[in-house]
Amino acid sequence: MKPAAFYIALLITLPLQGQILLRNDTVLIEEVTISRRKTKFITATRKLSLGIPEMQYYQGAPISELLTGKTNILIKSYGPGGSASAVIRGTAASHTQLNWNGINIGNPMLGQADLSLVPAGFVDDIHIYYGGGSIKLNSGGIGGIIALETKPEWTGGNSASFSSEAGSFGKITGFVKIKAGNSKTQSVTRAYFHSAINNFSYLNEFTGPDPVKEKRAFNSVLRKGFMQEVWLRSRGNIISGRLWYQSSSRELPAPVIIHKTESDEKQFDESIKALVDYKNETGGNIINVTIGAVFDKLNYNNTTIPVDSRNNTASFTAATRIETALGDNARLLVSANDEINIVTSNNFGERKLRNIFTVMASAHFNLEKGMTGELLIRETILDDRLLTPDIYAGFTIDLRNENRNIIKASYSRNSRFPSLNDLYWIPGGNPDLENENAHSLELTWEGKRKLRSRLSLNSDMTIFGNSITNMIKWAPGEFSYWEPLNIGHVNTSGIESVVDLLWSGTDFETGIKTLYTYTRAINRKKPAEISPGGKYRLIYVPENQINSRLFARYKSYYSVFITCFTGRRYLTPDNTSYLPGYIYNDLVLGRKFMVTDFAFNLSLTTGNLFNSSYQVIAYYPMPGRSFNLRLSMNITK
Amino acid sequence: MRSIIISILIAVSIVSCEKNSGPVFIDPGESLISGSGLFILNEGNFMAGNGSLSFFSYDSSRVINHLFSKINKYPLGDIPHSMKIAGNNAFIVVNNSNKIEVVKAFNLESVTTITGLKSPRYLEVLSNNTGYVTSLWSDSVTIIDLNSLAISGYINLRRSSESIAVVDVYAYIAHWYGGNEIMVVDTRNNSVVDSIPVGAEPESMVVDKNNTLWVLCNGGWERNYHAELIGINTRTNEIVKRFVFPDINDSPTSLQANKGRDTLYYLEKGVRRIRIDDAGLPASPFISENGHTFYKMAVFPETGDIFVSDPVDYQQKGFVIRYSRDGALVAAMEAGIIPGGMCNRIMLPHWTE
Repeated sequence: MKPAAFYIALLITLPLQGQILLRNDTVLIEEVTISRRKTKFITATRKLSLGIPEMQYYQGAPISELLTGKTNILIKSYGPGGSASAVIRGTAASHTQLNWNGINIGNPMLGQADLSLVPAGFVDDIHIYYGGGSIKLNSGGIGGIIALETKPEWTGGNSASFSSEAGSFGKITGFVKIKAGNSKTQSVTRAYFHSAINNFSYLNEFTGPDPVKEKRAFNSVLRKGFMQEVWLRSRGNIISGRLWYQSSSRELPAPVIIHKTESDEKQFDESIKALVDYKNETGGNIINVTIGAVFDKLNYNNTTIPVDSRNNTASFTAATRIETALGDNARLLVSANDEINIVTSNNFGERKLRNIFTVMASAHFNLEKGMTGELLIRETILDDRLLTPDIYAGFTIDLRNENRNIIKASYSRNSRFPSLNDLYWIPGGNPDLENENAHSLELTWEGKRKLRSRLSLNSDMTIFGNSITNMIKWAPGEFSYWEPLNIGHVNTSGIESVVDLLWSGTDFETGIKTLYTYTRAINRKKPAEISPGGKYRLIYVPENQINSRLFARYKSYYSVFITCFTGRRYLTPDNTSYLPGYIYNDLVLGRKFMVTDFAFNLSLTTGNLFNSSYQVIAYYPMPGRSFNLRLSMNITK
Repeated sequence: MRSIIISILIAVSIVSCEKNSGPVFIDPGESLISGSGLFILNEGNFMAGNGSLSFFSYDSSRVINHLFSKINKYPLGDIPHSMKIAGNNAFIVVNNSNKIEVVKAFNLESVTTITGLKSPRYLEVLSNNTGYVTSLWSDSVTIIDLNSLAISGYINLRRSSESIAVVDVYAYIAHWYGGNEIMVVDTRNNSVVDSIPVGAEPESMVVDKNNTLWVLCNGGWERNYHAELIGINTRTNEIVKRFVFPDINDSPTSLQANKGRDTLYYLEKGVRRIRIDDAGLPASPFISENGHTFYKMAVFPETGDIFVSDPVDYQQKGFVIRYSRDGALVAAMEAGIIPGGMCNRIMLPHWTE
């Protein structure tokens, strides 16, 4: 807003100054500033954002833990230390993409991202774009995109923050963030360390007639990370550079039904991500160029089978994006993105290379009476193949009434490429696989209401439907190994809703945010002829999911009470077995206080307060009640 | 608003009241087994722990599923692979759970669980009341004392082991995965006394009425070698017959014999039948697949019925298909996920006591 107003004012005032010099008989008038409201374009895409308020207690924790309680994304976790993937709207984990400051950082071999490898403290904002609307960001996920952002703070001077945590099951975490710079230069350095034995107790009801209390074995994890970011700002230009190193070494515990006497499965992940970004914002125009490189190593070792799987991927991304205003009521965005994946793996036989080139054009325009329209078309060239274009169309109506109700509707046709494992894994990889295709519809209502002077209510509700065809599934092939085929047809539909109630006073503040998701995910593929017909639910997709966060603050004391409910999840495609629904609660109690110039934040988190026994993945028990003590210190100069 | 919140809380409370934290199997069927029949080991999906035990009863001509978990109140484990009945006990070899569940052969009640095994595949009972357990990922065969139901020793083969057949005092153990040998073990002193080179990946074996050991080598999954059916004279340990499958893509499995042990059956694009005196492999199947996927096979000795498992898509419940001895379809019956190995149960009189 401010640069635009300043620019307009400058345009007007400079000629006036010239007139003064040339025509002395002109009556001088006082300088005026003419500004207009920057045109606002409401998007029809459903988006949920998490910022500092939600993330402040999770700096050393992986974002999978953060997203579990605070969003309506389904996180499929193998437990603490184990891998975790995200499922949005009842699709598959491979349908959710992970984006870091504009580049895709999902593993191209797996076609998905392990969220347990991303520490929340390495992210400033998380934006979740649901469904087909995510097509606007690079390739777009059929389920959606989790976009991670780091951003500069041009104000506030230099600061340093440290936090350390110690908790149950040998958990130790340390995190540091140092910010330095001024209004033109910024540097942010972050580092973290996390180790845990994760030897929690659980009740084993699965390997003998009598339940036995056991301790989880061979479940340790060690993670380290470092990130350096630099921003330079000059007038409308911002240049930034980022470097992120991350490593994780972990034991992979077996499901509890497997008797193991030694730690025979281990996984080592290492990643280096580098990104240079240039952004110019002049008037209403934005030019953005991003160049990124991601090097991933994933080594899996099993001494029993034996397997020594070594996988290295290198992904290079070059992206440019130009956004310009077309008059007062329309904006045009054109972008081009090229991503090259190079994989060296002893599971592929030889080095594999893939090139994905995408061009996209979108128009966003304001119509009469608070109505907004969006149209987008994206064309992809995959290696030398021109793919069917993807499209997105959105429409919003701002009712402009007292309660600020907005109605949004959108349609998208989206696609997903096979992962490189799908194409080249030996044995079974199928280089003839086609893309998965999805048609998505959604309708959203958003409302903001001031109930009383200090009481506000924000709420929204979305009804969505997806039809995914050509879905890739691994199935037994002609010989004694499995191969991926385009055989799936899945329909998902459901409702997402958020109710956010906030009462805000001077000394006292309280609020409750509740997210409810109903998902109906049906396998439409006809079962084999001899099998009884029927509509079978997709495995591991709960019909009902509720996450709620109740918080309260009195002066410097605060508490957060989190409730997570996940309903029944079927385990087999014919729905003959299921995992029961579960509910658990986390409680955070803390206090913020100052000692000289240092701001301290001391908190105690009790995880799974009521010691609920549950499993997210069958036969992988989750920990019971646990404690985590955290002390953070921040100094700003 | 208040009513909505109360409704949600009530709904959550009801659902969260389920006591189990682990998988629940939906199967309202009964758990009684009676008479002679056939146990079916449903492998389930790898690492999913949804393996199960079914039983086809000749009394009712029906298949009863999820027997083990219904009777013993805990799941059978990950990849139940084979089963052997010895005396009053039945031994269920659960491959990826690294254990053998020992149950009463009469009613399947748990007797004990033998753990400490490494990827067990088959158990064969010897005359001296011991058992040999082969292993996919270990170089040794494990010796089980069938009295104490505990591990009593190991035989180091220096290679993995699969199917096993006993002739007199010698155990013939196939080195299947990546191998091409039959190891000969003297069961009197548990020592390796010979090895017989055969075709690539000997998958299954039977002994015929002449004590000829028939070895079905499936050629390996990479299809670098032709599959072979080989006959070995167990007195001389020499190969006396060798049939080479004509197509490099032939991948036969599940060699079985009839009660008279003069006819062999195996799976290769249907059920094939060969008499032990035949001069060549059968050119066409004895039973065609007819849209099914044949995975494992058993022959019930008393009736000559042929049972073939069909895993359908290896993800949902599969089928066991019963054919008469002359190859006529009798019934296709629903089993568990990936029905695989089968074990005949001949009713013994004292079991009814």
